[in-house]
Amino acid sequence: MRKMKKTVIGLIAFLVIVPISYANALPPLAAGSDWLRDWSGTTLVLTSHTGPTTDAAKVLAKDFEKITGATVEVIDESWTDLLAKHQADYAAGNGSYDVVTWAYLWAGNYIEGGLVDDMTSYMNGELADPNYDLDDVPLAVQEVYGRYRLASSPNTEGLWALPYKFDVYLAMYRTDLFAEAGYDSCPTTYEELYEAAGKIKANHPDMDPLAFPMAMGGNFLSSFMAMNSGYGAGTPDSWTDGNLYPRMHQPPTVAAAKMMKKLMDYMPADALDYDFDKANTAFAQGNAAYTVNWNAYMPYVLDPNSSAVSDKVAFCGTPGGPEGRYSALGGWVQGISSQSDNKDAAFQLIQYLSGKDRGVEYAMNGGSVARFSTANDPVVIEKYPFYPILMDVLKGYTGFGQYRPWPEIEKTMETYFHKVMLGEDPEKTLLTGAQQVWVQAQRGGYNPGATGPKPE
Amino acid sequence: MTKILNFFNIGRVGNYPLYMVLPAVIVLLLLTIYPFIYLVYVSLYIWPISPTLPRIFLGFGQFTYLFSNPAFIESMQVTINLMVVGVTIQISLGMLLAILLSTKSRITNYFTLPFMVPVFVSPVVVGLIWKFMFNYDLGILNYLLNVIGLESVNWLGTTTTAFWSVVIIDTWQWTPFTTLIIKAGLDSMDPTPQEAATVDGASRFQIFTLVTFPSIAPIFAVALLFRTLDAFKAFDIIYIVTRGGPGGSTYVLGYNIWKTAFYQNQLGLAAAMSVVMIIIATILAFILVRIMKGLMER
Repeated sequence: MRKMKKTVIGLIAFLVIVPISYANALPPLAAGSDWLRDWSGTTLVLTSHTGPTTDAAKVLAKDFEKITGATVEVIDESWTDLLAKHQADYAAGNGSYDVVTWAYLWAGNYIEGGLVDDMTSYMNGELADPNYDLDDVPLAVQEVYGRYRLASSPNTEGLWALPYKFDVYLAMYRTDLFAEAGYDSCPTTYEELYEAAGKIKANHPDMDPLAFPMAMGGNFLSSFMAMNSGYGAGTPDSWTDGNLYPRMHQPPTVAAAKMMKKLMDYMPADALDYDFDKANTAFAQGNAAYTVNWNAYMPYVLDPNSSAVSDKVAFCGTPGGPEGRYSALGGWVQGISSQSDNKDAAFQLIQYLSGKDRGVEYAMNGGSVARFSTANDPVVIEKYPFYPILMDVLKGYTGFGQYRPWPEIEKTMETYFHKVMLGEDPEKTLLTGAQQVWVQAQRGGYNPGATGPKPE
Repeated sequence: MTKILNFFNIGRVGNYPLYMVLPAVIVLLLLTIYPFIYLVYVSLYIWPISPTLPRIFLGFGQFTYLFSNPAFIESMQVTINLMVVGVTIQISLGMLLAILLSTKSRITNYFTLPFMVPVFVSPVVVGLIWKFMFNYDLGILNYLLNVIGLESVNWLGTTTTAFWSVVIIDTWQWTPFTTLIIKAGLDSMDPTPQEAATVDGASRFQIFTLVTFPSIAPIFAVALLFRTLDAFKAFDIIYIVTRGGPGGSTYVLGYNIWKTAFYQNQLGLAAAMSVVMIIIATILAFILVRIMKGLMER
């Protein structure tokens, strides 16, 4: 009787445990791979923005398909529409995507909005690339791209994303024109830049020496960010404090805004219509002596087919202010869609695209890679001489806000900064802007009142 | 069943007209009234697009916020300015051109069709074409100004010029539309009263103001109605050419709503803006229709 009981229990245990184990078992390793699994029959949808990095990702995705047997469908769209499309798709519960790409400044919308999953358990699990080496990624990038530490975060210690496109704001300058004006290196402060621009203008009266992206839509804030921190507005978030209390009306930002307005003396008359493309094109065509932009634009300037100044250009960090020299960190990240049915495979694809072993190939195909090993690779440096500078300037970095109301706050700040650039009184105008930001933060569910009352 | 039929008086012949309009009423309810009610419902909440974020009931708090928000007020002002200035120019020019094109001549016949081309072009294409033409350094407009010895204009770089640039684009695209409508009115007019006035010795100006214009006034009002409501909804040109800048000088309501809903993730606030927009548009349409009716009764 006892024997029969044991047999029955054993049988039940077998019937319960075996199917569960089978269901939870990972697919076998893909042939010739020590960490990638066989994902035959799985289709992964990756959503991203158009551009060289995504083009490079497509090439790597083909390799991933060959190794794992998965099918990878890359949907690339204009970055300006991506946030809206993702949010609408998730609201409808379509579950269209497995791998989601977003600008880190939208993190609040993706992480607090539940669009993506925490990747911590994956990073420590069997699916992770053993040679991924997170320490090879600059700490600033790990923090800004992957973490979300506001009190409203579902997990302040969670790892929400891995780097996809590495963006740092650098300066490009014409070595010949600066040498002619008596400078053998790029200006280290904005005052020095102003002085140099004056000399270049004197030598070339028909030229507007400075071409900064100044238009609305994120352009102005990108150009202003490092200046703001350099004048003492703080870092890595120079716009608000942890409670989202605005800083734009405070003396450091007012001083920085005045400096930017001063620099406009040497910018084109329609400077406020200059976006990233237009500023880069103006410089590449030889119409400006100095510009600032994201590193993604720099290959265009180095390419003799698209640039008239490819042999006269040098790169450096953006100038500093009285409180130090900072560089703006932008960038795009990738995470696992919370509505994906293929999360394991999605994680492996994300790691494959941003892995250490493929960094050089990715960079050489046009991708922008946030890895020391890639930035220090001689082959990469030969083609893209600005790579080591990207890592160097990250020692002092400053960034965008990441909280949910950021898109609204960004628009408000740009509108009021533009008003200052158009000649309105900086103190008064920026105070009005700060009052709006305070209300917008509060309406967004944050608590700027914990820092102080609405600015008066 | 019979009770139900009796309750609704289904068999009564006098109710037949009501049954005939019933499908239209259902369609109207489903496609217009229901979305509007839903829009009002959404406007009472802080309503993020993301389904996992909390929706907070504010009641009319959204509207109080809107009207205390300088950015929204500014956006309304820009929209109204653009509408008033743009439509006034388009209607006036349209009238002038319609009179010219209605002149019986072989040249005007050849001219009419090409003149209408801007109406057929997508506003996105129009925006891109004009954005290139407005370019400070490379645009053809500044090139032409320089050729005749004038200074380059900073078309998109200052608040005033950016606003006028948008007016110019809108006028270029939509003046042919008002021209076409008014010309149709002029062409369909009975020439007898004008001939009689000529015989009576009236001047051209008198003939136009006292005979021609009153005859085409209802059609003129239709053109005004279409253009006013269309200008109030401006979005595409702004999206392509200025993105609302510089300094919010072209940040029209339509663009503001789009940006608020899909970029700033505030569906509730965008819905409140839309409700305000619909109310204003309805009032405008009501006034214009009343004017039109008055003119037709005369």
